[in-house]
Amino acid sequence: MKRIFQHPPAPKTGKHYWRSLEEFADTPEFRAKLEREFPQGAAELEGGEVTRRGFMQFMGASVALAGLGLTGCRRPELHIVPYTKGVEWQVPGNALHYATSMPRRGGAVPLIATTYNGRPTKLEGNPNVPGFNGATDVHGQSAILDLYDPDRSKTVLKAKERGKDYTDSTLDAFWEEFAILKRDYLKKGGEGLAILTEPGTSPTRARLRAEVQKKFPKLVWAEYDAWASQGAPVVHDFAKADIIVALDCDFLGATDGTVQSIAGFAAGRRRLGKTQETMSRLYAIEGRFSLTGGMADHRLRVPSSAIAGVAALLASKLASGGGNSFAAFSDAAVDTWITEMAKDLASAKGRSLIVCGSQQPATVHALVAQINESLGNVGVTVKPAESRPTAAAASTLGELAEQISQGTVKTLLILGGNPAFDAPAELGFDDVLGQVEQVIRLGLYVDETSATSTTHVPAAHFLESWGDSLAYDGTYLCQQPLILPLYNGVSEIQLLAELAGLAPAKGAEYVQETFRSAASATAAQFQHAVMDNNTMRVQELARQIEAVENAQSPENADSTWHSFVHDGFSTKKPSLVSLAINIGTGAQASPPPPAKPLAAGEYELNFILGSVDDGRYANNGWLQELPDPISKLTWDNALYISPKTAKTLGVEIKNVNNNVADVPNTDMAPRTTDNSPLSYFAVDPMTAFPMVEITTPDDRKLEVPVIIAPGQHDQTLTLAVGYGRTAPRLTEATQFKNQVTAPLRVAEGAGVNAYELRTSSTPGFVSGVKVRKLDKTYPLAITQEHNSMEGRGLVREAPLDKYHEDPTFVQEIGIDTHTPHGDDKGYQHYESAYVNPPLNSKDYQPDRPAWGMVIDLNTCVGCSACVVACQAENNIPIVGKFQVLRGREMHWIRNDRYFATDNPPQVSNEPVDPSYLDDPQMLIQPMACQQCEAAPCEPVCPVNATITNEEGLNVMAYNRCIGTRYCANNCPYKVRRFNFFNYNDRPIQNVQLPVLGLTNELYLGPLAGKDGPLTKKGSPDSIALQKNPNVSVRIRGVMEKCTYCVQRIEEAKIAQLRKSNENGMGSGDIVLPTDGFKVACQQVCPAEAIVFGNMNDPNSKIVPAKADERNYGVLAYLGTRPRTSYLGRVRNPNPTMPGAANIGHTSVFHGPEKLVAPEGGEKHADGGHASANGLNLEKLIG
Amino acid sequence: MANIFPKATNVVLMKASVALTIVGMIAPLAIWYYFTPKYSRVGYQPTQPVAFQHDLHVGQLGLDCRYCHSYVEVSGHSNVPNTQTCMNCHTQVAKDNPKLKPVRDSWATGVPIAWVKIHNVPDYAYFNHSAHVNRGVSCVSCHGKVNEMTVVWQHESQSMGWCLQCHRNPENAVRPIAAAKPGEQSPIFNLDWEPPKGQRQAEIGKKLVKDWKINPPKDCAGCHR
Repeated sequence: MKRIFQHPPAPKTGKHYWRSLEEFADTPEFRAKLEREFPQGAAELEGGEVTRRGFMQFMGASVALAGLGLTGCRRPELHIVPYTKGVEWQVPGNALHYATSMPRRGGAVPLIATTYNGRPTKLEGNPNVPGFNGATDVHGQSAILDLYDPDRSKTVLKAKERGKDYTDSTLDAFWEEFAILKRDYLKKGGEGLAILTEPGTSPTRARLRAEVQKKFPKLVWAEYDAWASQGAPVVHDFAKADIIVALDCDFLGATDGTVQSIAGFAAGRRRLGKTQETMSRLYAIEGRFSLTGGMADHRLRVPSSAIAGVAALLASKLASGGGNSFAAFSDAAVDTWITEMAKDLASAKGRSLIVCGSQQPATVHALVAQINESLGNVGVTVKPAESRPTAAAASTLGELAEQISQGTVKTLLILGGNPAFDAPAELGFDDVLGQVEQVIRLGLYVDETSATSTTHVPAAHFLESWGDSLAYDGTYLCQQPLILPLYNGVSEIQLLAELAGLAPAKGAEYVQETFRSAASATAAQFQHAVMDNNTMRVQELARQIEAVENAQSPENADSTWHSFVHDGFSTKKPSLVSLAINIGTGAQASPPPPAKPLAAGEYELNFILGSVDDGRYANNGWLQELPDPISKLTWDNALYISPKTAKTLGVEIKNVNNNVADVPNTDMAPRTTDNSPLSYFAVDPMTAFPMVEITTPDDRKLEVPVIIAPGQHDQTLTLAVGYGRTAPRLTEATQFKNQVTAPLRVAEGAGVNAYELRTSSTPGFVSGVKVRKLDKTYPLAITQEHNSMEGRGLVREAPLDKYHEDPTFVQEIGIDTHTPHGDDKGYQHYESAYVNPPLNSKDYQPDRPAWGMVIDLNTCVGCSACVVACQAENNIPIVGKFQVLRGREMHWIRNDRYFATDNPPQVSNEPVDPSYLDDPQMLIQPMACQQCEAAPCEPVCPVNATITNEEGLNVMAYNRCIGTRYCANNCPYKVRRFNFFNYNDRPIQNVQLPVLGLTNELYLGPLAGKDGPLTKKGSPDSIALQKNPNVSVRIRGVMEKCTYCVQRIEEAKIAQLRKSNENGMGSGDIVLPTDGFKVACQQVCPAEAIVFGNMNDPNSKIVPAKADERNYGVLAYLGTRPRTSYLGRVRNPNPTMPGAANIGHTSVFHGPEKLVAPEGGEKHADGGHASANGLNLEKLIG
Repeated sequence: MANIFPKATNVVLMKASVALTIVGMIAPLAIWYYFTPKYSRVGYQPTQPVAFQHDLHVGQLGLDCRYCHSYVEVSGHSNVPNTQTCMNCHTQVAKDNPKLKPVRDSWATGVPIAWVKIHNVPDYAYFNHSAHVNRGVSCVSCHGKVNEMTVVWQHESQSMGWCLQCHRNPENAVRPIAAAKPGEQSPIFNLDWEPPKGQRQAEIGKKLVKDWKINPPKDCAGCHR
């Protein structure tokens, strides 16, 4: 019997798929249809009892209709959803850029944010603000991830049981409570009310503080910053200095480094390029190996506690310091060193700069200021004190703690910061906080401080709120929101304004008010200046007033404000004093006494900042995974000790056979929430590092893993603060309910908390600590630990005199001594085994751009901002600690760090005498895909997923890649990264799942989807908002690598194509403007060490860079013809300094006359091989 | 001994292998043809939430493509219009027409209309409209005669091979951007444009390619980023 199918009526909207039996059953038409086709099945369905036969027919029908038939072969229905009302300025697919600024310790950093469709995706520096080189640093780059952090606090929390149990509340309820609080305290004049916040440079906040203090005269205003400078704030101009002396000051690294200090220093180094004039010289006196020490021409190892003595010694040599109270340092070698340095300084009066580490005691700061003054640096390299704004006084944390214990504080508002975590250990601040009746905490995360609070209010991120700030040199910067607060956060200014009883702002009213009031304040000062007969001041102020008045005329009353927001900074500097800004030093309760020098055999513990700063970025995955530039450590902090100390303590890194059982006590393996170690994941013995216990003189203990750090002083132990954070588990709050993972998923389990040892009298270092080796190990994830140059001259350097003598010294290093020299393109043209069709074909058009990059090793300090910028721009995922342990980190660009010792290590298998490692030099080389013209990775791809295009780019087609990994195997630079797992779609931490139990979701395959049968999807939605829409997000099984930001290249080309049709008639004007765009790493570099451009464009900056005599390609002799090349490093040693002969001479040139011969070692007969060997840690084993 | 197997078994193996071979030859051919974008995508004509008719608005009324697809010259995406664009006219024209109810509802509630996407290039390939439209490629080259479509359907396969055909020989598709006479519509957006009498597309195209230095990317980086 023929069955006549009656199709259902056409669906109203698009194709229909029968998804589930329920829907299927619910539609009366379809049930009717069913009846016609399968009468038995239908009857059985309605009847209720389904026989097996009927069930099979039923299922068969549904399968046939549900989509395994031809109708199901169609792709799923996709939608385009436009706006209803268009948003002004927004063009889908095009970015909008807004200027803002990031408030930072010691001054804000100007930013330009790139936004797509109303959400910011990338932060860059603002090139129009002088002094920053348009750059940012690692924290500026990763701030965007903090904005989208899924662990951010999203709701108001009210304590049910303080510290343990909190419930959700609403913002409205909070404001009501706040209004009551205000009313009560208004009556009392603010007695019992205290505010604890961080020092800042915001004029608006200062103004609001003044308002609040007017309303509440008895209010206590305290400020605390864990890493605030112990001395008075100073503004340096590194660019003008010919000689820089860093006294325990890591002004190039994370600890004391800023964008402007790196930019200024690089300017001084870059002078080398212009003529053969000399470049700046850097002396570093420090206890541990920092990036500053790596860039230094001369480095002296001295424990931090002895810096005071060294400064005194220097002062006495310069005959400048009078009446210093420290015993001058008594050590003959140090004496000679300082004497010669002092002579050098004396010969460069007014052109030198002494900088002091921020955590050195205030007395040392004062002494250094004195020395600078005596050397005539004030006004040149050190800005005079008058140009710095005066700080409004604030209570210190110690004073606040005292008041709390006296019971005079009933309500405490904590705005930002995390005092329960980073307060000095002796205060016991989280207990102190527990004594306050009412603690209202405004915070970005629910953190340790929130656990002591009675109410937690989610804070608005700086990218979500209006504000303003001053840069380090007083430039007035605007801060505008890029997106509405994602989680209804409240900004500090809002809260203060509410407290002051001002009308609630819809937008920028408070900031506008500050902006406008600055003008009137200037007028008042003008009057004063006139009356004081201060002509210079009168003129200066008159100029300011005139500028502001012109701009504020009725016609363009608002234009000044608009240009302020548009530009991000004010070119018309309002008088700093009129802004009454507040740069508190956050000095500790009692200024630390001068440290006594260490006795022999005593140790000091040195605190430094790592990539997570003082702990505030501990939940930022990019920063946790960013390898420390020197130790290459990720995801943890560790105690750095010198090789001799390691030997003394009996601490060794065992190179056991790959037998997991040999590793003693994997107790410290990262734990799950139920506290059982993850034996699931075998700990590679090579990554198991020994542990020690530190005990400070005031009996605080800490267990910490150890890394052997060459170049560190034997009595110095270094530990980064900010790690070891544990977020409280607040069970009732819906944000954390049912959460089996930690509330701060990234920060949890990462490192140890060094703040437990840090007290207010020992902010920078603790003298006299004891160390005891423990019988435990801890896995540390270190990237790329084994570097070996093997004579190939990967990093090349020479001292300045050698450079003057032979500018092409790079061509005589390493294996290049045996090969022909390069042609005028700057990179060696060797006969290559790999012929490159696009570049060699007859169709090649020479007027196509030819992209190239040059990285100047002389200015690259190793700050690693490029690593994070690349990660932000190219949607590079983080992989988590265990994957880094397996070497699977995904950074496209990495900084290779090489140690260079004077004498080559032994070649036999005997252990190396650690004294070789006492005083190495350090070189850093950023390494990304070299975009070889004759790339070895291309011919080995079985599916031709990677090719070289006509512009010289080594292009990667992700969808073609099948994951053979042969290309990575063949790459001599090891710059290709493979997605071993779906890092973008799976969380990196462990979760408890049904069926599978405790597992790391990375291991779950494609069936794990949002509606998958076994698991749930991993990656949080807010992280997806950060992704750059112009770059593919790669899936598991795909190879990726640096692309020279091909999306930016193509964007520039397309923009030019659009421009070519501006007249509406089409044209051939497709030549790209010279240096019209920057690639991400180039843009972010504070030192401007990376130059990128079109080598076919004669006006581009890349052309002289490639033609520079110092230019060389890494492993160029292989014939890869890399498009990325490097400029050899030049050191500027002072010939009269001890040990100067071996500085920069880590490579043996033709004729090793100047080199100190190694004892008993061989001299190479032909003298042409580099002995700049990397440090092979395996040789360190006892 | 009795025969264990029936006689038919003698030829079963041969028949099976012949059949398998034939199937094995036809199946790939079928897949090759039926699974290619040229067959599976061309003709895709989903039902849209609003029964918008291009032939009416563009063909009869003469709206320029860019009135609605406004960012096609400045952005990679050629956008579908906001509800506001529709309501520009439809607050007055056909303002009670039941076919426009979804539009009016969207305008009133602020919930946007979810148009069904017809032309879908995969996420890992980045196509930029402005790069094509500003260089002489008309809408019709990739979308067909939309001005004659009542309900829009996919006219071209838009597979990578199809893209490369044109990228390798752009003279077959580029047109002058400026209209022949002032006041006329640009040939790019005039989907009915034909080469003027006496000229052929190939010669017009060749001249434009030379004058404008048209050199479309033929390497992966052009689209795969």
